[in-house]
Amino acid sequence: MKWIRKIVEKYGKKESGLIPILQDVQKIKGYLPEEGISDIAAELKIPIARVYSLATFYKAFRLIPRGRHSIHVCLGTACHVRGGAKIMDRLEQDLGVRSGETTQDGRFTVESVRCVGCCGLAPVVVIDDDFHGKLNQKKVIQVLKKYE
Amino acid sequence: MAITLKIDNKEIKAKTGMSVLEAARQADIYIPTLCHHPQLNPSGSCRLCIVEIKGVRGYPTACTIPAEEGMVVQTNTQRLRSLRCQILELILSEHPYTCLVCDKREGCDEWMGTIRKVGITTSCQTCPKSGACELQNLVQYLGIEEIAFPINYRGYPVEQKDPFFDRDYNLCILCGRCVRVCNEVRYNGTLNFHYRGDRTVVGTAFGKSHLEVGCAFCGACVDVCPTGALAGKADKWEGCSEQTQHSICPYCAVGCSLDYHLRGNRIIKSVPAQGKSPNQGQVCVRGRFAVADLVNHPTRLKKPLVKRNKQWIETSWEEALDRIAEQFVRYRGDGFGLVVSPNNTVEDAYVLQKFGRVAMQSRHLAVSSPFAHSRWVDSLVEIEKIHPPHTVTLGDIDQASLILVWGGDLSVSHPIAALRVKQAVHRGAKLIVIDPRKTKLAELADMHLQPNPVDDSLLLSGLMKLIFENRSDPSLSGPQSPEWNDLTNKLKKVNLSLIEEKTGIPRNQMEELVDLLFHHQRILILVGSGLALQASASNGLFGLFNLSVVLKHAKMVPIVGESNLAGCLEMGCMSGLLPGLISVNEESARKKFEKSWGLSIQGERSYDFTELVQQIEGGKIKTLYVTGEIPPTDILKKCHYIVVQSVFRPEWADWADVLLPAAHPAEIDGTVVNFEKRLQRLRRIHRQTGLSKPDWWICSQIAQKMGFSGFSYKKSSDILNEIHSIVPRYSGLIPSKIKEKGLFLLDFKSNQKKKSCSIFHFDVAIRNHEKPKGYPYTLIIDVGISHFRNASLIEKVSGMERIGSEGKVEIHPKDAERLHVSTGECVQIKSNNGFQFEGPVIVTDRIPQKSLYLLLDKKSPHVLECFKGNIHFVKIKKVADDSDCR
Repeated sequence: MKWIRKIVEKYGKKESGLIPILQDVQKIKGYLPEEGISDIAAELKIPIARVYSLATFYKAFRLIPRGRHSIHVCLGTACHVRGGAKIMDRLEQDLGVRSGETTQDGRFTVESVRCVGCCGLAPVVVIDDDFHGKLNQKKVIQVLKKYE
Repeated sequence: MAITLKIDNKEIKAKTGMSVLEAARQADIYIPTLCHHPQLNPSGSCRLCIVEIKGVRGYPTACTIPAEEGMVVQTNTQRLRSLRCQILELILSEHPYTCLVCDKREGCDEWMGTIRKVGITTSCQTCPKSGACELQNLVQYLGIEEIAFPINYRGYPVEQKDPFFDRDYNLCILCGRCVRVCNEVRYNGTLNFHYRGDRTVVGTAFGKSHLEVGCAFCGACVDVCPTGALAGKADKWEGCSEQTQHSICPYCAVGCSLDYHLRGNRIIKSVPAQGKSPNQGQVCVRGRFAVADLVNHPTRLKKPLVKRNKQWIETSWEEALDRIAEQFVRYRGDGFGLVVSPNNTVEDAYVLQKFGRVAMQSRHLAVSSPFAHSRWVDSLVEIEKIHPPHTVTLGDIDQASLILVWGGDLSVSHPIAALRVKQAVHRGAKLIVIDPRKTKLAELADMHLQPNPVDDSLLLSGLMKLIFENRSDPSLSGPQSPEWNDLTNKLKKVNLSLIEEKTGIPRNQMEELVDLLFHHQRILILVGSGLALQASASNGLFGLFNLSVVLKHAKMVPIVGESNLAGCLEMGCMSGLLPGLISVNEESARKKFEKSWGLSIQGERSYDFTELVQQIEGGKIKTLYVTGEIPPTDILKKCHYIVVQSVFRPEWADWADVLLPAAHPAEIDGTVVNFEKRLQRLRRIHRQTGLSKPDWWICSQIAQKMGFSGFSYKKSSDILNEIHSIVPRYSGLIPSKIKEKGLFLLDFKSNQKKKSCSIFHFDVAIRNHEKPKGYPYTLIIDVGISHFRNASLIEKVSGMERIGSEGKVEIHPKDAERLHVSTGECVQIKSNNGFQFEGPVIVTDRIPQKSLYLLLDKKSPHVLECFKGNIHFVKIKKVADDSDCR
C-alpha cells in the first residue's frame, strides 16, 4: 500500500525505524492491521514474524481494532472503595464486553486503569479525554449516551 | 594470534576472537550451556554458562565474553554451582519436569515400558526427547532433586496440523535456538519470539500455521531444539537412536552429507552431518524428512516377481534371472533399450552400460532424466573437453562478490545451493536473478530481470553485444582466436532494439547488468533448470560459458538434475558416449574399451531418453531393461519384453514382464557424483529390505547367466577398480582415497590439452517466437525433482503432498480474473502443437501476465512431451466441472 510505503520511507526504510513506523500506522488506523504488518515487512525486506514480534512485545501496540471511544474505568484505591468495580460490572453487562474488549458495533473499548489522579471525584470514569466523576451505576449509562 | 589465559587454574592457549566458552571447550573444560549451539551466534540468554573472571564484576556468560590475554577464569565455584541450580530451577518451573526429578528414574531404563496415568506433557513416557534431552543431562549434572519454585504449566495446545514436525511449546524453554537458526542460518524468518514476560512464546506471525507462512520445513529448528518442544512427526516415537552412520542424501545434485540415525536395524531419521561438505550442517526438507520414510516404506519391492498368465508370482532370484537371461539372449542387438535411473550409483551405471553395450550389443542407452537430452549433455561434454573447467564448489558461492542465477528456481530444485546464495547475499554479495518468474531468490536479488520465456539466447546476445561494443576494456581484446573474431562479427549485426522488443528487457536494464558484471572481480554464474529445459539450451549454455570467459574472473556451473545424473553421464549411460565422457566416434579410445571388454561396441549416437521411448511406438525398440523411471505411457504395451528393476513397482507394471527389487542407496556401498563433480561415497548402513539387491549385482548376474565373462564382480569396489584401470579420465583415481569429503573428478582428469580462453560457437540469430493466433499464453515448464527412482516423494512420504506445487498451473491474478478462476479451480491448457494438460491453478503474482508456469512431477504422463522443449504457446480455459481435477 502506498501510504505505508510513505511512512516506511519517512524513517529511512530501515529496520531501526520499525517502532516509529508502527506508531504512525497505528495512529492512522487505530490499530495494526495484518496487511499493514505484512506490507511493512515487505517494504523493509524483513520477515513478517520480526514485525509481529515487536508489535506484540509492546503493550502500546494493538493488533485488534479499537472502538471509536475509549472508556477507562478507574479501579484505584479510592475509586475501588467508592464502588468502581460495580461501575465496571455495569458497563460490562450493558455493553456486553469484558474489560479490554471492544463492543461489536465498534463504539466503545472498555479498559481499567489504576488511578487517574483525581481521587476526590471517585469513582471516576474517563471517556476519551473527558473525566466523569462521582458516578454510580445509573449515571454512567446516562453519560455514555453523549458518545456516538 | 594466540593468547594464553587461565581457566580453572589451567594454562590454556586460545585464538583471538574465541569466546571463553570456546576456549574452555577446546581444553576439555565443561561449562554447562543450553542456548549455545556451535552453528549459531551466541545469545547469552540461558545464563547457565556464567563464570567468574578476575577483575570483572558479576558473573558474565562465557559464551558471549571474548577470551583475552591473561584472563583468570573460574567455571565451577560453589557460588556458580548454586546460581546455576537456581537458574535451571527457574527454567524448569515452566517445563513439565516430572521425568527430570523423578525418584524412579534410576529404574526407568529397566521399566521403560510402564504406562503411567499422567497428562500429555508431564511425563517422561510422553516426551519424544526422553533420553536425548539436554535438560535431563543438565539436571543430572547439577544434581537437582527438587524445585523450589511454583510450577507454571502454560497449557498451550500441541500444534500438530503442519506436516513433518509437531510443536509442543509447553516444553519450550525459550533458549531461542530455533529462532536464531531460522533467522541467522536459514534466513527463512518463519519463527520469532512473540509477546513478552511469562507470556513469551516462540511462533509464527499471527499464530498462523507453518504452511500458511511459507515455512520451508527444512527442519533446522527441530535439530537444534534441546528439548522435546519440536519433534519430527515420523521419528518422534521411534525412540532414541542407538547409532549414527554417515552417508549421502539420495535426492538432488547437491549430494548433502547426512547422518542416519538407527535403532536396531531400522533407520529412524536422517539429519544433516555437522560441519561436513558440501552442505555444512544444513539440509532441506527432502533430506531431513523424506529419507527414512522411503527406506522403510511398506510398498517397497521385496521379492523378484515374474508374470505368469497375467498374474504376478513371487519367485527366487535364481528363477527370475534364468528367465530374463533366456529372453534377453533372444533380443540381443538393436532392438534392446536400456533406461538407467539418474539415482543409480556410478558403479551401477558402469555395469549397466557395459551390459547394454557388450552383452546386449545395443547402442540404445539413456538416463531417464529431464536434463539428459542430447542438446544439453552434448554441450556440457564439449565445454569440458575443449576447455576443461575448474572445479566449482558450493564454497565458491561464499567467495563470490556477484552471483548470477540464470533460470530456474534453485530454492525448490536444489534448496541447499539456494541457501548458500542467500547466506552470501546476507554477507554482502550482490545477486542478479534472471528468470521470468519471481522466484524466492529473486525476492532477495539486487536485480531481477524477467525476460520473456522461450529463448534466453536472445538476452544473452544483447548482453554480449553491450559487453563487446560499448566497452573499450583492454582486457577484453585478449585472445584473438577465429571463434572470437566470428563472435565479434556476429554481434555487430545484432539489433539491440529488436532484442529489447523480443525479450521485454529495456536497454538500460541490460546496461545496468553489464555495469555490475564489470565492477565485480569474483563472479559466479549458476545455471538452473529454466535454461536447461529450453529448446535452445545448448546455445544458451555456450553463451553463458562465453560470458564467463569474457569476464575473466567469472566461473560458471550448472546446478541441475538428480543425485547422480552427472555420474551416470560420466559412466556413459547415453547413446554415443563412453565412460569418461568419450565419444564412441573416437576410434582409438573405443578400441581400448573393446579390448578390455572383449567384444565390439555398437557405435553412433542413436536416441536420447524421450526419443528412445518414442522408438518403441515405431517398433524399433522391442525389449526394455529399466532401472529408471518411465512415465506411464500407452506406448510401453507395444514392447515385447520389459524388465523393471527398481525400489518400487511402477504404475505401468501391467506391461512389464519381470519386476526385480533393487536396494535403496542406504542399503548399498557405492559412489555418486554431484553437480560439483565431487565423487562421494555412499555407505551401506541398513540391511537390504527383503530380497532386494544392488543394481550392479542384478545386472551382472543376468550377464553371467547369459554366458558373458567380465561381469564377475564380488563387491562394488571391484567395479570402481575396473573403472580406475580402463577409463582414462579415472586413471588418477585411487578408490581408497574417497573419504567423507569425496574427491573432485576435475582434479584428476587426464592430461587434456587446455586451450586458453577458447570460446564457443554462439548463435545470435533471432528465431521467430511469435505467438500463433489463438494461443495468447506462454507456458514455462519445469520438472520437479521430488522424486527417487520410480517413486514420487509426494505419494510416498506423508506431508510432501502439502508443500509441493507439482501438477499445478501458476497464473497471474489479472489473467485469473479474466478467466474467472481462483486458486484450486481446474483449467485446461492446449498448445498449438498438440500438448494438452488439465490441472488446478495457483493464482500468484510470481508469474508475469500472459505467462503460465507448470511444475510437472516426473511421473506425469505429460513429462515425455515436455522434455522436448518445444511447447511454448498455449490457450487456457476454465473447466466447468472440476470434479476430475486433482
